[in-house]
Amino acid sequence: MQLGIDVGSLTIKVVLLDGGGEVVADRYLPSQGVPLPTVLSALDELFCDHSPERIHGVSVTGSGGRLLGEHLSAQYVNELVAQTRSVELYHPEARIIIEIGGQDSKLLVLEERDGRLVLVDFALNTQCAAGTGSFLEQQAGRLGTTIEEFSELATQAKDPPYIAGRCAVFAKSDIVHLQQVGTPLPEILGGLCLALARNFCSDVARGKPFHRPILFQGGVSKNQGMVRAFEEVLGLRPAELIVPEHQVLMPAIGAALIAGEQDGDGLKWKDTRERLRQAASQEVGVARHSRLVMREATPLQDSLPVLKRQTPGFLGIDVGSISTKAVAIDAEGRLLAKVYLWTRADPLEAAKECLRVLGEGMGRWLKVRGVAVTGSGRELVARYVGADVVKNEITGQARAAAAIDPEVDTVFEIGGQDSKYIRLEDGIVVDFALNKACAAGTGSFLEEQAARLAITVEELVELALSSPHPVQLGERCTVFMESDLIHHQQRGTAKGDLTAGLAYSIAINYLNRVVGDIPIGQRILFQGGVAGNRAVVAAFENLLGSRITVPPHFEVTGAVGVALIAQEVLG
Amino acid sequence: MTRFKGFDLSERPYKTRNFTCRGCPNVCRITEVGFAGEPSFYYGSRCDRFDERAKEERDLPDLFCRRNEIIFDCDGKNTSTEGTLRFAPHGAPRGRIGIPRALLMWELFPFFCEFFRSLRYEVVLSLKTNQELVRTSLAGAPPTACLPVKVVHGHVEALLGEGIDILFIPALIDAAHPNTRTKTNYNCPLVQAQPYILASGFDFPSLRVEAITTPLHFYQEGRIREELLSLARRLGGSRRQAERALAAAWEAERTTKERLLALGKEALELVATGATGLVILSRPYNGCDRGLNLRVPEKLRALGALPIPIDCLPWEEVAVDPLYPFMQWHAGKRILAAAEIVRKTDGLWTVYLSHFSCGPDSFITHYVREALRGKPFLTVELDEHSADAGVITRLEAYLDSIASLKRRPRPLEPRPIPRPREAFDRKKTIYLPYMVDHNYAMVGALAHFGYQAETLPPPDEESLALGRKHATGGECLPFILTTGDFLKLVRREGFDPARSCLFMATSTGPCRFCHYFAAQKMILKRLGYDVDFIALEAYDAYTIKDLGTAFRRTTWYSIAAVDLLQKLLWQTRPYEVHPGETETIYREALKRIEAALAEGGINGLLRVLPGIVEHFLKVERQEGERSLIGIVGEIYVRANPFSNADLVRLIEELGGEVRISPVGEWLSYTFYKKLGDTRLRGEWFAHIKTRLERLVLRQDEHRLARVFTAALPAWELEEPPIEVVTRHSEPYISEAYRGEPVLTVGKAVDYALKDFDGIINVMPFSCMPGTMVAAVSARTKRDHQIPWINLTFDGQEQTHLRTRLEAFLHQTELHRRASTGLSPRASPQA
Repeated sequence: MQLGIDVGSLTIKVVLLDGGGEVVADRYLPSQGVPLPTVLSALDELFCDHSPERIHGVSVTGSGGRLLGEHLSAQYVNELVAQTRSVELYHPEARIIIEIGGQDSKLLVLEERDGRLVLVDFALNTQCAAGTGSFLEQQAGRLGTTIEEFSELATQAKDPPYIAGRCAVFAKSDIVHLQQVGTPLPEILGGLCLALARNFCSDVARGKPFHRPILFQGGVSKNQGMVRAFEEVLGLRPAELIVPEHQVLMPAIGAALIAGEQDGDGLKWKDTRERLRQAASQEVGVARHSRLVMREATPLQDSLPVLKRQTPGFLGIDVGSISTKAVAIDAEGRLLAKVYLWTRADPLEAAKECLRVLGEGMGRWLKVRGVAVTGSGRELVARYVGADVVKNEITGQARAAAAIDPEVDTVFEIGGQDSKYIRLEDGIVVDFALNKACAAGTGSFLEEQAARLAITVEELVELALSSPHPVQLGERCTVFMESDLIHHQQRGTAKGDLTAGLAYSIAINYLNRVVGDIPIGQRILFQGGVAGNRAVVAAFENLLGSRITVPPHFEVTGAVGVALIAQEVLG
Repeated sequence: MTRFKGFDLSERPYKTRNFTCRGCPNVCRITEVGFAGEPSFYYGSRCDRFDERAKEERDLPDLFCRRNEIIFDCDGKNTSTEGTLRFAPHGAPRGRIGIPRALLMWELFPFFCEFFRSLRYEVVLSLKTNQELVRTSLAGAPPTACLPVKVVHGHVEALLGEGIDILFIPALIDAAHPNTRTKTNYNCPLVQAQPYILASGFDFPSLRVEAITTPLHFYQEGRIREELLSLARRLGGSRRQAERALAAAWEAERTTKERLLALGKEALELVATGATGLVILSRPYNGCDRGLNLRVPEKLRALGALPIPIDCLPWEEVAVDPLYPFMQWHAGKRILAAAEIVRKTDGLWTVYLSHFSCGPDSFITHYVREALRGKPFLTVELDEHSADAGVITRLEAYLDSIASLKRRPRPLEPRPIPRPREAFDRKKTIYLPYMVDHNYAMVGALAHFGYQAETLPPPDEESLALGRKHATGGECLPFILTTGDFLKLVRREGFDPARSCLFMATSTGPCRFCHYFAAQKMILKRLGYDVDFIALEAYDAYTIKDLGTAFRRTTWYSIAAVDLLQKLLWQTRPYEVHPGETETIYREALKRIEAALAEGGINGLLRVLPGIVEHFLKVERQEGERSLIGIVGEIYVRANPFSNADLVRLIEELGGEVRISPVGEWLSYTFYKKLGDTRLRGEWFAHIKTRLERLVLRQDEHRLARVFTAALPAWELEEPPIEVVTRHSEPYISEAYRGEPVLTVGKAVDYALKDFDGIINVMPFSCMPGTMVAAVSARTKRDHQIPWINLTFDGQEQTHLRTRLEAFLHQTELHRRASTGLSPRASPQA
């Protein structure tokens, strides 16, 4: 018999083949970020029923296969090669393999040459999760379904809606919206499957041909909804897309087959097991950041005056995709009142609520001279409330910054799904950038992770600031960062180190993906909702080595800015 | 008086309705909101389709629409139609010629339309770019090309359905320009490569369409005349008809220009009376194409500004040469000229419309930024997901900035004009950024002639970080790394700019390399370091004023020697019994070569080489065969281990053996080109001199090779002559294209014919020549039945590099085992 082990990014697959290439036994386990112990227990279990003595050859494959191979003294086989081999045996008619696993997606182009199936071309996914299984898993988690239910439900979809979802994070806002308008769950799930299939074609396959028949394998091929989605997106006829019987085991089977072609010594399990056990017990080093150190913070003067007499003033409303903010200022530009609440995909209701709160607080005393609106919902809300000034967010944020500090040259603004970077000279905007079609470096990710760790954002900050060794999560797609986080958690990394790592990753992603190559100045103001997170502030300070000022009322600066503009315009 | 409706809004009812917009691939869910007594309002779209505020109609003219009429409306009819346009021949029809409405046809269409019609052909112009066409293009065009180049694919596909006999897709090498004297005036490499890229996506013969792919050199007056006359003859025109067609075409070109300038004059008059004029710095093919420009001009107009097409300005009158003597791109000259007009004209501002991965723009923006310091400009970048949600926000914010600047103008700062020194200076230390190990031999050669030189340490993470920090972002990796190397140098303690000189080779285009020294000098100057640069130019085969043939010959010797030494290294190291032994010998050899050159020049080198060869022969070797892999591609990244993630070592570790195209190849190519140039220009004295020099160098190569006879097989000893390499490349990329791609493809074919087992084409991210090679690689690979991968490096960690290489080596192993065993490697081709 031959043993094949596939160490994937999220799961471990083990197969035992007999001489004829038939699967005798197999195991499929989540690796939970600790592949070696998982392999060990899988093998222990396997050898309860099958004697290791009868194994003549062992090969390993997969992204973690090289390391395991060293410990097992087993041959390492490249996963594309392994798959080609097993497909040659089981489905020699296949011309294309689509393999979608947790964090990896592949496209293999095959050809028959001299009676053998040969790998002639291939494509692999990049650093974006758009075409991988993690995308589906994350969305399923959000919708409260298991990945198993997902498959069942997705096939019930009749007319799935279009979910834009190039970036998994933006797919979320589509989903929230669909839920609000009462779209049935199966339809949403069906829509997600179509989004993944399209992403695979555009981001992974990138123009490579889809010759038929196509073999669809990897964990995601278990999802019937995905099978249907590929059939639809690629315009396939029945039987042109084949899901093999051993859909998740194909690389492991290929490795075992290749093991059988070599002269092996057999598996000396006792010694090997001991080596593996020792290796498994060793702590895996994790890259760490330096400790988050807060510089001394400017005390926030948050108190607002109480109106007791008729006061002329101006309103500013900032209607964002996640939150809506409204403020009232007096004729001298002093802040009188502020409101901050969630937009919940309904900007009109949010604006209405903001005005209701402001009106209740001081409506009697405030004589409104003018109203200004900004934010992504500005045009709509302006029409609704009867606004005098409609301004974009950059001008709004910059105006507020210049009012707070006339010498300011740099503004960081991070909100839920949007972030901005502004450079000023003498209060005039000279350069700016907005986040592009990628959510890395915006705030909503942080909150979601806090929720997943079952802590509040305030707790997250405290934990992060007390962390001795923040984990390095790297500069990556937030979807991959989430699965890394799960691994670290499973390995028992302290919550503080995780949360501090998250704070760092927000700052790093912002600096690299939003600021990019625009120079950063000397006087930096940090505005927007995320500025309230002291851990993120500290991360910026540690990374840049400069002081970051968080102004009072940082969360409503956009609204304040446009209110100031209204004051200028309408006097 | 405020319009505020009061705190209590519950009095103000509204109705909402949802629907799906299928106007573009984003397919957004749109919410329609209806207020009592007011028109409906829409939101939810990722684009601005529904978000535009009620248009503030002004009397400002739509210059973009009128400009496009001038270009495409050759008959004074039907430009409003989105579809295909047909133009009748002047006389009994000979056939039907299709012209894609893409790239330079956005400027040259009137010329060619008239040319072909005069030759009695019906001219078919493809439809306007739309989302569907963009989608078709993305599926079929090479994935690493920029969007405007990709879109040609869709236009050609559309034309093929129009019953055309001939498809006009010439290689437009350079462009006419009355007011410049630079040696070259190139179009972007990818624009030049249009026919080669298309030929890898379409099989024209089987489609029964004749593709005209002839190279055209508009910058060279006599040459373009000959080229066009011969094209006319090929299309069936008599000598007289050809002359007449050409005259008619030039006349059409002249009136087109006149009409464009008249439009510009009108625009500038409006600006003088207070309109906010925004010149759209761009190429007409992305700035004026409504299907690609994110409708930026329309949006600006809706916001009350006056967007102005770049080619309506009198840009040809601006003398760009004295300001940017190193600018060898036609489009670059036009953009910089327009930026000068913006700089000098009150009330004129600019939006720079670029597209993702545009190579030339990554450098042009450096210069524009310097030219407009004090008059900020907005950059909008287009990409294939072209629904940039924030375009309106950006434009509004920029117009707000302009409004504040109008109230409080900022002074313009003088712009630096970087010029290299042309002569070496014995009083200064020359610093060479490390590219390859040949650097050390070069330093030895310089020392022999009395110059103090030093190779900077190889680039590292610090170089990368420093280089990135001062780059605009889109530049190629070699630029970023060498910039970082220089920045590390100037920060050294005790560094004295006055006693230092930085070495950077250069070229006359068409790739970005010719801008390295200028952009680097600007960056250093901005940081307060005024350092001399010495920039040697490839166009003249690196002729140095005060150093004669003797120096050039010594340099040639040193480079060729290290090329041979590296072959020894690569053929020995994978088989060594004692790990590290070969590397030690190699490093030692480099030091000895540098010292020997410094002391004894060529003779010193020849004395030390036999001992080095002896050393290599003594290395104990294991038995075994490995697949042999040829690395070709961009010269810096292919040879520089830091920039290519130590590719050679990784391949050797995974079981392969490697050769990299030799560095000397490029030098031979520059001589070869100089030979052609001098002949074309009738400079017979220079021509004969070059010919002689080339002969001497070839002799020198033989002489060096003899030293290595004992250690290297015959096919390795000497490189094929450049004539052979270019001939290999001709079916894929014509020699008319000047630069590396010809060598890359030619060398790959040379390797394939020498029975190598695989080819790796290496390039920096967004490298234009590299993208060109990648585009033709599918065809080359198929014709020569050899595994081939294209690898792109941007200095970041490579996802899956190892997995990809493992799979590739699996392919090369199959190739090796399947090969006949009669290895032609034993006998060199050529």
